[in-house]
Amino acid sequence: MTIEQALQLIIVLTQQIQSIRSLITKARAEGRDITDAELDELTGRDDAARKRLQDLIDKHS
Amino acid sequence: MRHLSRITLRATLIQSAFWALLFTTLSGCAQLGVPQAKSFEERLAWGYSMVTAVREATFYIYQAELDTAGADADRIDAVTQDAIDMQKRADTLRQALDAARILKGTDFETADVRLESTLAALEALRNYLETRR
Repeated sequence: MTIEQALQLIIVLTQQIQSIRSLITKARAEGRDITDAELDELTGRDDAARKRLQDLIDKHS
Repeated sequence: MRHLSRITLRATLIQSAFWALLFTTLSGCAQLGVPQAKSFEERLAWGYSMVTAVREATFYIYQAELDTAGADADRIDAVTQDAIDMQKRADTLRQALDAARILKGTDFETADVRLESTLAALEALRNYLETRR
């Protein structure tokens, strides 16, 4: 793994942590639970990550 | 020579930081200021985020392994198989989280048990990745 690749991953994981932290903190500050729309946004992000990984796999298999 | 070892040291430190962050991310993030997920929806959101983190990590590690493999076809096949395996594991976890979410509307207790077992499976995946480090 190159330094650039490691740094890219650190940034992505940090954003992931920041995102879930904001989601939970915001919901609690507003005195509510996480909504269906917010869960849908998370599944949408996972779908995008899945597609990106699958595209790379398909290129090499 | 001294310059080269400084670069090597810096690369090693960055890689160590990467592994530390990956395992901290997958193990709960309390050290990083993320509140502990308590309600069903919070734990579900946490689970979805971690499945995405697994896919993202696999993408970058796979890309790095491909670069290292160069033109070695056997090595490319091996790392591709690893990536396929991780994608399948992530898919299984995602399907289990989706099932728990759907079930919550009709049978909360069963949904909660399913969610807990899926989060435990995520923890097992973290342990597996640690052995592959």
